[in-house]
Amino acid sequence: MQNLSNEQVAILPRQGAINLIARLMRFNVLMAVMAAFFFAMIALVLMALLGAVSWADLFAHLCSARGLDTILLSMQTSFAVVVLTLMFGTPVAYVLALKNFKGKALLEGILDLPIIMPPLVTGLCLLLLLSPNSLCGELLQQWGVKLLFTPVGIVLAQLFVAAPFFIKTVRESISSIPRNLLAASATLNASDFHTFRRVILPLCRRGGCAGLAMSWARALGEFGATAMVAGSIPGKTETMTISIYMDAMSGDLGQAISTALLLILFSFSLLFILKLQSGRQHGY
Amino acid sequence: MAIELRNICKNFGSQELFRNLSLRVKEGTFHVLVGPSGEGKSTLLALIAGLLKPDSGDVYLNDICVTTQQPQQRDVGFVFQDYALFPHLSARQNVEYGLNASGANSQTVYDKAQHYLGIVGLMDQQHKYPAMLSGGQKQRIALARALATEPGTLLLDEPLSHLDLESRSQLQLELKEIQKKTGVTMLLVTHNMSEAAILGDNVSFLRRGTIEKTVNIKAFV
Repeated sequence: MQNLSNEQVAILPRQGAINLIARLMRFNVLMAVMAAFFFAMIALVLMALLGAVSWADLFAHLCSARGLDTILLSMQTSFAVVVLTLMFGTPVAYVLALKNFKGKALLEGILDLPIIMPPLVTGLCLLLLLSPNSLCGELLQQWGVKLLFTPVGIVLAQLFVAAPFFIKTVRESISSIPRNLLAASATLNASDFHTFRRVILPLCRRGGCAGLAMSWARALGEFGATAMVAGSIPGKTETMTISIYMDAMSGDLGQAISTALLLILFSFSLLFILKLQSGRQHGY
Repeated sequence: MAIELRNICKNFGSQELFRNLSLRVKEGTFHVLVGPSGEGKSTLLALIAGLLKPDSGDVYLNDICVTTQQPQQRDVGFVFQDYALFPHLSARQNVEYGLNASGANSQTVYDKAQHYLGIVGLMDQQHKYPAMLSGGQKQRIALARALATEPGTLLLDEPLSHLDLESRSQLQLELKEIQKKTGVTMLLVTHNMSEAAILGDNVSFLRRGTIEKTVNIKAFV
């Protein structure tokens, strides 16, 4: 074994610390490079779109009747989806997070289905369910309710695809509230509704906003299921995503690019606003 | 009796926690339940508060059987080991929570909250959020919150275990003082024998799923 001098022995621990710091720095540099690569990919995709956009086309598209119709329809249907998701999704998330009952695992599995199913398959299922040949479609027809190839059909398709994102996020949010807080509320004479309003809602506001943003963006960008259920009737069932597809297929790339850019702007603004909102927490 | 447990049995899966456990707590006394960790002291308080249901046996509060009643229907307050303060509410709003839930009018809510904040000596900290308070202050707020609804019985689940020695000694004295001042029946669980001796009028020993014995501290001393 090599003999070390006293000075060499003295600097050994320091050398070890330096090696560790160097290793950590290499690790952090590697992480930073990987993260930068990922962001560069996203930036490149956006730049490809921004580079191809003609501002004159964009302005003309914004002012055209068809452009306005598609924007308005997408906004209306996705907003309706958000309202319905809040109305029906919140109780589902609450029950799944806090109640124990037989068949809960099955329900949770069913909730995952719209997320893992390809939207086209979802659309096909809805088409089969609502077609006049099915029992459900026949009943709807008898009651004079028409869902296929209507904006209501679009809402239905978008709701089916988008709501689980909200439900899963809020469910996780509610589950993460310490049980002692709910127990404390119960021992302070608070009804379940009071606890929901004064404890659960404020504490899962961040998760709720994130879930809402995801659902809204998902509804706004929904294509497959919507196309199957509502088709593409200009001025009636042509959403922004469907118009991008139709324009791209018919060779009108300028129009498709303009709509795509607007769609990204809307989605990004929504996410940004909701993120700001969820960040506005109380002083804790 | 303020609290009476009759032949309580409770199992978790195949594990038997309580076997025919019976306990009597006299009205207006400070009763301490001592037992080693993992004996089910907190579970016993949860059974009394209605947060859990016994497999068999009955819970009586003020001589009324409350076994099937929800926590909201029972006349008990609960102070949790980890404070369980609502993090999004200020100290004052935490104290007011139970009063608002009971539907008290705003003047009553304000007056009572101020009164109990005064009792625990935290009037000047009432606008702070729990994250801004020390462990001792948090436990005082939790105590004020539980007292503000003026329950007949107060259950305290190792309320001093997270505190440093100085805060613990201080709060022990305050707890005893508050119990005398308010006259509320207190049942405190702890694994600390000296704490039990300082605080309790009566001390019960929980071991192997049952109450081994209950002693009157004054008579004992």
